[in-house]
Amino acid sequence: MLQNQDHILQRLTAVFRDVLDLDDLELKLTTTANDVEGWDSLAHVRLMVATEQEFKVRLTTVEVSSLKNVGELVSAIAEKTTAKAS
Amino acid sequence: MPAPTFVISPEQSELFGRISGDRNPIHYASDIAARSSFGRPIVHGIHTVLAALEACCDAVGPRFARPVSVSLKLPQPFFTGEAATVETVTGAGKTRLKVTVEGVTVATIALADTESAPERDIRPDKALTPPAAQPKQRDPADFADVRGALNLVCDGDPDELFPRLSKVCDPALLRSLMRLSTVVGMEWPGQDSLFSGATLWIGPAFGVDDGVHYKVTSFDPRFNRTEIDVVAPHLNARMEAFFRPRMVAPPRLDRAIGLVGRGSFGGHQSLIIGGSNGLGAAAAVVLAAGGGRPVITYRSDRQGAVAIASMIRAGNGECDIVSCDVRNPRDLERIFEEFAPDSLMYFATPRIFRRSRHGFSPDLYREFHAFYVDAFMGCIDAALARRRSPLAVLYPSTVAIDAPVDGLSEYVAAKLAGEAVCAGLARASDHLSVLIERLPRILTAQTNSIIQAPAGDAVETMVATLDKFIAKTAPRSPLQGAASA
Repeated sequence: MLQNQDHILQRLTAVFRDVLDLDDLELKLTTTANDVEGWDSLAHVRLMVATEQEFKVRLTTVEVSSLKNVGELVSAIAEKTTAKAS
Repeated sequence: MPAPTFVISPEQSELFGRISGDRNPIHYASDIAARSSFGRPIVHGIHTVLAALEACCDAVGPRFARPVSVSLKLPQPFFTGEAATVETVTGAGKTRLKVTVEGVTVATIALADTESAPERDIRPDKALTPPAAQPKQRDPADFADVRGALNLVCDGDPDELFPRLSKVCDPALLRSLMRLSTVVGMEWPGQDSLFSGATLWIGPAFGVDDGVHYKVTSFDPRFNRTEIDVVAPHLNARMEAFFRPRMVAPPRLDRAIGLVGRGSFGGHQSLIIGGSNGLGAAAAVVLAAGGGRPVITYRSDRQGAVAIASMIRAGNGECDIVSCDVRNPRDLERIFEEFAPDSLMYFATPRIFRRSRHGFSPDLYREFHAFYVDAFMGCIDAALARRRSPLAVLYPSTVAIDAPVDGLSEYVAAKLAGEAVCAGLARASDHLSVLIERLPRILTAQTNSIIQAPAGDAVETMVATLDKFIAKTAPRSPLQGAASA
């Protein structure tokens, strides 16, 4: 699970760098929108759409609006990809 | 070398609208834009992008000599008259432009060499049409059937606005780029659109010959987000846009009457500063629904004030309107010479929600302070100078003082200062009683954003607030009670 989490975080970092045009961005599980330049409400929508495309999952409106940090997004992705695989 | 800068004047914005065919009123009609969450006309997104490329044409011009992909993002609105700075970073086959206003990014443009463009499922078989005279009003549910084709006959020449770009870009390409604005602003989403970004593939082999062919490819109801594919001369594009929420409807008198006890506010004349729209308009309607007599002031939205007063009069109520800029002492003197209200409700405000930014902006704080403290004090001084009878004052504040909201520090600090002033005034004057009400987020033009946060109803909130205000702070005199019975 931890290995899976690291792998998801790595792929998520690439998505965030691309969407936010921040080549040096390093995401941690504790990273929040306040920590990242340009992560406002419109960027949040773009990040969620790009994340869904990258991981082939769909987030609910509640999930999208209630995520508190990157760690919660990683967990949501892990849960959905595991459910799909089983 | 300093970074290039540019300013887009209202006249240039108007010219862009004429040449491109994007005549969406959000770009030039002050009264309509004032009722949107932007508060004033915004520059066309593609105009911002082309103006940035024009400003950096020496650096980016050579890129257009070969096929290039261009990624555009428009994260924040940009307004006419603002000074934008363009930072350019070139490296690893890419050129990136970042357009900022006061340190906030309003656009990013990334250009890179490309060999090919994606296939687009667009049959260029639609007859070419000129842009419509009015933006289309669309239902998002119809997205699957929406496609069309615009001609490239423009009312004016792009080189009037972009002389340097015109020298390095094919003329049909420049017209096609300007028409992208028209696709979003006039066709889809049309009237309620917000253009937020695009990826373009530019090269002679990537497009079609005749006109701008578009097809809507997706709509995501979770975010009101839509994508539109385009092929045009030298151009292949995928655009991203949002449906802006529809404008908030004005408060309705019949609804307020259903919520307010008839005669609850009978006999009260209240001066409602900033009553032409938003919470002030709701307060006026609620007061009138309860038999009170609002006098509403407006600064720029006369049309809104007239509409509210007409509605109240049509329901056999009384309502006066008067123009007033609260920052102008002579306006205030004039009002208190003309009217002697029992109470005053102070809703004057600048736009509350601004571009996302980090840190605290002293300039923005001063702007809020000018309304919530300086002008408010001027209003009270002018009122007390002309009356000896008690005056009740409603000072709307915000629950964001108790539960901080990101990006509202300056607003909250100014409201706190206003609360302190209210407390001081009430202590210093026997004639003054003040109710400070910390209101929650309420759906108005100010809060009507693309990503909707939970918001209360203006009329319901004002019914509860006025019940409290009139009952506790401005009770009717026995004479008024008898007169209204």
